[in-house]
Amino acid sequence: MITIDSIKKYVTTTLLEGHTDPLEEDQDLLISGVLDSINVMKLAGYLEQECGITIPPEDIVLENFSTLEQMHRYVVERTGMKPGV
Amino acid sequence: MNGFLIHSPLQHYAEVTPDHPAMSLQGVEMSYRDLDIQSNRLAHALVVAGVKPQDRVGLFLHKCFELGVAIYAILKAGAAFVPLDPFMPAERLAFILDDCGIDVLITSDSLCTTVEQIGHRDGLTIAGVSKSLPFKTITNKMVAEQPVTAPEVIITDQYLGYIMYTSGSTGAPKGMMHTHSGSICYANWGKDHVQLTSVDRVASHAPLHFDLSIFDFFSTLRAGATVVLVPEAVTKFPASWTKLIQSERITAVFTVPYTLITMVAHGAMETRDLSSLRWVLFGGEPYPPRQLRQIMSALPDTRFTNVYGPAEAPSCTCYDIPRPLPDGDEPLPIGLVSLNSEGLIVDSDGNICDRGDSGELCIRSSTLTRGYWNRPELNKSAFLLRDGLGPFPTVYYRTGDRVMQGDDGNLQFIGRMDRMVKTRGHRVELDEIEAVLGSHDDAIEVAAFVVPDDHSSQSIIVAVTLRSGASTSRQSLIGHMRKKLPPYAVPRDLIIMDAMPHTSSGKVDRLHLTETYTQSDSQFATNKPELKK
Repeated sequence: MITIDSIKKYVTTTLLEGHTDPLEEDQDLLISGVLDSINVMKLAGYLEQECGITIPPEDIVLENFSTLEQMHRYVVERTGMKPGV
Repeated sequence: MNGFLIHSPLQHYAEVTPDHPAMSLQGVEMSYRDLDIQSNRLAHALVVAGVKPQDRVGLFLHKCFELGVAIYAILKAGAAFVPLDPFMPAERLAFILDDCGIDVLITSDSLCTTVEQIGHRDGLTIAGVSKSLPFKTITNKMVAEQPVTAPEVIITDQYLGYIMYTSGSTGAPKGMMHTHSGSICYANWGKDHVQLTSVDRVASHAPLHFDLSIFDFFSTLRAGATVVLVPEAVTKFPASWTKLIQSERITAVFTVPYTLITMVAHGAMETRDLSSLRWVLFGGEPYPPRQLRQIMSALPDTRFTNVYGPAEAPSCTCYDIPRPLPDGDEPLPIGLVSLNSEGLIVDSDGNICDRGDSGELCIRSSTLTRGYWNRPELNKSAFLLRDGLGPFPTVYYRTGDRVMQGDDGNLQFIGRMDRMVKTRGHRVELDEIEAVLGSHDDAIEVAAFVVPDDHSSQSIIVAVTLRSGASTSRQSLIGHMRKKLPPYAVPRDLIIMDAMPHTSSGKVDRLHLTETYTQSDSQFATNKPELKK
């Protein structure tokens, strides 16, 4: 199962080169300007690949993707819905 | 609806339809009465703090009710509002405060971290915060104690209503000045074209520092309609944005093609009821017809209009998209010149082109800017003066856009004359990026260029050569740009090169860079971090 730390690592090393401030798990990454719409899509693609899930477009919303915590919670729930896992 | 100032309709509707919502944010509404009263109180507080007619007051806020209140309060105090991107770094904020002579800044607690970093400034007063900052402060308590009627201030429609800063080619942003009278022409154009009435619910999707926001707030105000504030975070999630259109029953929006293209791609439109949306205005960048057709079929009852107009002369031409849009990939016309404007197409010698020949579009308009704040040289070069009928010359803005007029009278956009580019609707001067990165100690040569991205927009790439022996990392170079540029202007990729290609004339060969980059990195959209040599 994917951890919050591995999501954080993907954000800080792959999406945000040159970003030096530490990220908090409950920090709103959108309002603080850390993530933009392109990064959100890339992040969703990364989570699909890492967790072997499909994320329907209607789920890529603020409530699921504003913070690292929310993303992790969403992925855990989504993985639980997958038959056979 | 009468009223000669851009904010005049507010008091009118506060008397006529006091309970009608003026603004809506995440399901909560603010009535015209409340907006009028709250902006009157803040206007008094600004006057008490020393704001005088024709002063400039900075607005550094996310989308919230306080933003709307502050806009009207500043105008009622007789000052011009200067919208500042809430995501801009402190260094850029400090530059604009100095450049524009801003003595009062309206902000909020959530942006204090940036405000604290601008350093001490004699005479700067801050409003809207409850935290303790090392500045003079207009406290919320002081505002609450002010009268509920508007302050008595003499304001004429020749005063500035707002100054909007955009990317500047010397590495510093430049502010364009707009009067009340010009803004009213723009607002009226929007209200009339979209046939807004009080039942409309117009999205404020664009950031306030984009001129589309003048339509959002003031065309809506003139109709006594409702502005639906779209939080910045929502604009970053196409599926949240479509959800908001449904829940807020948005009827009209003025946005950039990028927003609409991502709505189709990621907005889950088929799962939302978007039938309230009756009119979509778009502009800022060309919209590929193939992609426009997709959203037109997803929104079968919505009207679409291609609006063209630099922020110096907003809404100077527009083209109502026919249904069905004919097949083919011919670029959309930018349309006919609006009745509040006149367009000239001139060649490089300043002569008017024959019909069918391409040249630079020069615009005179009642929406025209009064020029750039504190930029005498730029003001000489950016405008074309021609003899008028009376004793005064007529003033045209040189758009820098190459256009031609078709047989049907519609103008066709061909390309930029200079190097200002649009990336996802944002205006960026490539020269500014080069100036910023070039200011890094280790940078020698810098070249910024654009490549197409997978959203029918273009992305900025920057190539740099470093002085020998420099150990600067790619991260620190990008970090350097992040400190000085707004987020949208930070290049999507940075390439450290051993040597920069040059043309025979000795200029950096940007075409070669663009081609090499596009060929060698078709997977560019995934922004792979590998360096290319």
